[in-house]
Amino acid sequence: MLELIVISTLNGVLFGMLLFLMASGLTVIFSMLGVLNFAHASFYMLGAFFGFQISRWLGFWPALLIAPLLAGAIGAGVERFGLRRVHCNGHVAELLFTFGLAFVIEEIVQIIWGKSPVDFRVPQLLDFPAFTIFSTNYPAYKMFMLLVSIAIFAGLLIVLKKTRIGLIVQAALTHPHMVAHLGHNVGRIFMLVFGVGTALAAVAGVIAGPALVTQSNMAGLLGPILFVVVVVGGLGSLPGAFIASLLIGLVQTFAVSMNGSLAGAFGPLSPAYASTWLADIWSVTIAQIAPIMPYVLLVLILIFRPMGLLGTRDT
Amino acid sequence: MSDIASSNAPPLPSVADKLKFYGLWLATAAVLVLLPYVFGSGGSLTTFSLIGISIIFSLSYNILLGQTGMLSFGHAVYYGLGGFLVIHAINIIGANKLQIPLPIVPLVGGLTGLLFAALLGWVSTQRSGTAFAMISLGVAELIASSALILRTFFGGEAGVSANRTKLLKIFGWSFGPQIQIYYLVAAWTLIAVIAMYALTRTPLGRMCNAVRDNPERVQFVGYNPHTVRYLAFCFAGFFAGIAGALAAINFEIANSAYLGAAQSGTVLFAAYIGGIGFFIGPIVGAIFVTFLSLGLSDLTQVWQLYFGLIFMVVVLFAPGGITGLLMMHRPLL
Repeated sequence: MLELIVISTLNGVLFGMLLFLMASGLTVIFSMLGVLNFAHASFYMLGAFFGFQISRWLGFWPALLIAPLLAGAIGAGVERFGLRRVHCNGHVAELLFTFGLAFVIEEIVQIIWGKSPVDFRVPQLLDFPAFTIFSTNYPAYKMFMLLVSIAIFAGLLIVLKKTRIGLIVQAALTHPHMVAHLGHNVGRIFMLVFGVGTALAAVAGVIAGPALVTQSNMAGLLGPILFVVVVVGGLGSLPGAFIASLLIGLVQTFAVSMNGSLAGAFGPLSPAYASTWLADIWSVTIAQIAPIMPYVLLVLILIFRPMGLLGTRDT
Repeated sequence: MSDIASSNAPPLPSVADKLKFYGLWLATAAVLVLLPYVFGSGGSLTTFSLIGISIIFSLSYNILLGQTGMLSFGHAVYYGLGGFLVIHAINIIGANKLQIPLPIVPLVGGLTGLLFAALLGWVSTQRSGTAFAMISLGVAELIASSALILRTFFGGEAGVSANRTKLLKIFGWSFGPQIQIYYLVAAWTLIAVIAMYALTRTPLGRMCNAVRDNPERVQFVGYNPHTVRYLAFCFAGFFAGIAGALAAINFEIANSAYLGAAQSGTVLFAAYIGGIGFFIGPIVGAIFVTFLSLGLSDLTQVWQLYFGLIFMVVVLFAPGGITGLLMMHRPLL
């Protein structure tokens, strides 16, 4: 039991930090441009596939650097030539534009790499067990993922809070016109933030690719969870996104490792009911409902705290 | 003293206007009746049925997006649930030999859509804009994932099927041949389109537009935007349920793809490409998208890519959609 708790906590924090790598970019982009980037998970997928392709040619370590840069450049291009153009048609048009973009990116990835998972392996250097707890070998690569996520989290925090660039970005969040009057190029700041945000998602993609499955549906699987994180945390709140990422990471990991069901707790149904649809609810295990846990959490949060955990503003 | 405050009703429409208005609907009905005599092959009848279903679904979506300004990524939930309930209803009616003919069965789907929209809508419509879009996505994922868990009711990945010909026959129609299904779909399409058009002319329809344009002002006038959004959501759910029911009757099967994100995406594409600013827009979009998906999927495997590209081009360069482009050139006529 203790083993389960320790391992699940580690995995949960890891998954939560990965989610936060993406949610942070999404949140900053949202608070700055007012648009929720529907294609954010697609950049995560692009990161994973670029990482796979480049690690084939040059090895994993160059891929870790080049793939996010590439994805970030694409992201900046999308902002400069796409989003800025639809901006005058309002936020719904921007959201729809990114929705179409997510669709197109998924199809293009399918054309190039196919629908089945690609063989993206953990680099040799990190392919060993880091430590053994209670007879379980914990892979070093997962510790590496955790370290990278924490390093980026710390870096982001320092850049946003302690540097001049961070100061301008924070000012542009709330008072874009004032920042422009002071002589800063707000358009360029927006483009940079969009590029950096998508590059962060791509970093998450490169480091998650070998550990999870790199496949053309990975954006579709992760995207909705990402939006749940952002809404649960409160739209536009970075600390909220952090808490929500960890919360959902932990909830989902713990749910997967639990095997209880109503039937297990109270005994099986009488034969008269066992063939009706009640049996589905009665005998489903917690592990089976793990995929819907984030959405249940979303509905609960919406009922009891519609602004999100740390949200303040109504959109 | 003040003519401004007087509340004169607008003048009654002249006879010519009335004739034009009702004539248009009668002409539509006549076209729907005569269409099979011109294009009588099985393939074209199937296509027409699909278009009719798609028209109802897209128009119901436009009650949300076009009329009330709510961008939903989960409208297929009500479509799919309507479809599932209708399949189960047909099975129950067939097994118990109830005296219910097939043409009124789509009402079951509509009421299902209404019920679930009433249940889920109150939470969803608390907020508008981006938050509503994300919430609709989350709720849709919740229902779609649950459908795979509740296997007995939703039939897992295979879905549930039914036999539509086992029901009470009226006028000797068994609803086996596609032509009879075509007339069923056409009749329901006409009824639903008239009903949804009438809805836009009611005070509620007008308040929906007001909520879309300026919710704060609506509050000052004394209405609650949340309630208006909720009512619009319920109506949209009702008509989506009817569309799902007709689809289930047409294919005689309902599976989890009905509820999925792809279905929600398709209806968004259809409504937006057609043009959400006009009542007729989603109708044009539904016809266009159905033809395009049938035509392109014959030609290429990656037809969805072209779909996405067309959508992006429309968002970028023609936010009014096809209808918007056409209406722009109206003064030329």
